[in-house]
Amino acid sequence: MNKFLQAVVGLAVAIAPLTSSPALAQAEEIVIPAIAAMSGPVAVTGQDAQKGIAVALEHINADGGVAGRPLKIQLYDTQGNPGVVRQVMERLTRLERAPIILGCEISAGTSAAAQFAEQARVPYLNSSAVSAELLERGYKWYFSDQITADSEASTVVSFLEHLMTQGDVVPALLYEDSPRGAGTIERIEVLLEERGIEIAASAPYSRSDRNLLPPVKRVQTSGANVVIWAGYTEDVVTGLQAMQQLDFKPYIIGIGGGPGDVRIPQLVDRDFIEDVNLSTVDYFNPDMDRAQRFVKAYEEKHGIVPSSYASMCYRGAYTLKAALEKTLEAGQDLTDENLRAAILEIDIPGDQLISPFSRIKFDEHGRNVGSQNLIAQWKEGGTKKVTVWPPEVAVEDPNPLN
Amino acid sequence: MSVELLVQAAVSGFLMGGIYALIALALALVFGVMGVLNFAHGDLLMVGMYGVVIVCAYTGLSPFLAGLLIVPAMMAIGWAVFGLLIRPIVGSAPLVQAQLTIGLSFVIQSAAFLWFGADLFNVRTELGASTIRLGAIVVSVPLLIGFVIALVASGLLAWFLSATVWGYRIRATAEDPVMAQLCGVTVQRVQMWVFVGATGSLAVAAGCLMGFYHVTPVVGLQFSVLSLMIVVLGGLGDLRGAMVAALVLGVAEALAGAIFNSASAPAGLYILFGAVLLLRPHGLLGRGATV
Repeated sequence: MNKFLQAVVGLAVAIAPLTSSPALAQAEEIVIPAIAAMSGPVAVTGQDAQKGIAVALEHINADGGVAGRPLKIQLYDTQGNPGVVRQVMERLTRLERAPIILGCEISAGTSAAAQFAEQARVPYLNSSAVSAELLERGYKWYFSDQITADSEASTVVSFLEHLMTQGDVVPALLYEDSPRGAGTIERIEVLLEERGIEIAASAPYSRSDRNLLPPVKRVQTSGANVVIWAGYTEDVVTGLQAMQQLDFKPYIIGIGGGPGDVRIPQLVDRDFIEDVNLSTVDYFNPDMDRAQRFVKAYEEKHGIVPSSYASMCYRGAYTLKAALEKTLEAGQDLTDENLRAAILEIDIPGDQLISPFSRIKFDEHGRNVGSQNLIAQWKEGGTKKVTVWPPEVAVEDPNPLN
Repeated sequence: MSVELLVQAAVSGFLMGGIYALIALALALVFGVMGVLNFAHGDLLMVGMYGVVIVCAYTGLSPFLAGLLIVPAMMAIGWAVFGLLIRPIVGSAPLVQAQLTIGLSFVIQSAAFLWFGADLFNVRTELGASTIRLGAIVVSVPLLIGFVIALVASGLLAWFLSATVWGYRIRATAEDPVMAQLCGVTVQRVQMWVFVGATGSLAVAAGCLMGFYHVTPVVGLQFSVLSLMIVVLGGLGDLRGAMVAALVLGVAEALAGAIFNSASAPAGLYILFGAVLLLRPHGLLGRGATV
């Protein structure tokens, strides 16, 4: 060995302890594709997903990567359009022969992606879409670590039962009649019926309704003191204004994007938000203890508090890591068959997750049996959403029944 | 189903119908005078609604005043749209007109997405939660103000058309453009000013709506569909018919939601719309063009 080479080797040995994972830098990178709507009407979901994945990759690679190899997730834009999803899926499965695909896609796009993955026999790991119907199709290659309408419904009912310990509860249902809203409400109706809890009123409305006084009045006149409300931001804003006009102040348990939208305090009277104990079923809230590493890193990197969309793809990246790691540790190649088998063996305990889940473990239908929601409540004059349910992840107690 | 709930729905629907009337009258006037069914009508209204949000944010004015303030800006937009797009298609086949105005609708929506994002905007005022209680019936004050302004604006429009020289020219052009031209009316000029005025009137309607409603880039589509329904129901080109149809539709929409209490309520409204057209193809008052 000549002197120059000796010097180079010596320098490399000297600086090796200063680098976080020198072996990781030399190991072959694992590149996995992910799909998300990064442009188009729902671009906010994909852009947040991208930010969440960026933080996840920093954490995963800083912690030693996947069985000693660095992980890279390559994002593909679908515009949230099922037609574009099919094109992207075709490219990934047939041309690029991806062994697994991570999905940070909305429900409509996920439906198309899952169908394509099934035909191509490539595992599709969904971390975003909440559609329960996809899990009922009997697919073998579709896995979802995300919550579903079923888990939303059971969280709502468990919270309602908690309120019932404090006094008489007369529940009513108010919902936007989209498949998303009506689907969850239907499941809630079944659960309430099973428990013998009578519903005072059920008031659906169309998303195009510009005046929600009539349906809100229907709920008010039923004598309800708790309203389970599935809605989007537009109708929740209009509905809260109607409640204020009617001087109707029930305890609101919200579902869907509306009641938890961070813009609600700018759009509606903040005092009224607190008057109605506006609560929302969600799958992430930045105040959870277990999410703090993610939240701080996200805030440092992107300068804002992470949204639920960002959190789900951070979690998805970790689920993906677990599947890859299991395959590699078993001495197997990263093939679609091996990865599918590995996904079915994953069992990540809840305390290692940033979501309120008890664990991530898939059943034979690809459903995560440990998925569960949390309930966050607007507090401090409607300025802050605080996790109040379930007790194992709650940061504060929920407001008592009025 | 209580009577109280039905009355509540009817009152709210009637007030809403008054605002619909102002929106639809502009469309009916444009169709009546130049035979163009503008599918971007709701999107022009959406532009006005964003305008109201901006003015309110910078000046703190009420949305109703802000709506009046942006009338000149909306008229300028109407002038540009007419000159560039509408004038060349006056007299063209309905399909050409539909394709062009639908295209315009997409362009306006995309521009709104680019400038304002997908976020929802509204205008919060002290009046927002104000109500007048008539026994058990609650009347929203912003909705009532919007209704009154829309009614006054519609009344002024009716007076303008029936009692001024410009009104005579507009009516003559709507009645028979060739004869109007022979009588010395500059038809193209009349058409331009009708489109400019109709777009300007959308600013007033935008102010009325923003008193209690919100705007997103896609909000225009629902108002376009609604306005088209009203114009067809009222009888194509019949302004009085459009006024009546707007009120009927507002009440029917609210009652359908209250009575059917299901996801089928909007479908029920369209069935009613279809039934009325079958029975009265010339519109509610029987004075419009054949559909």
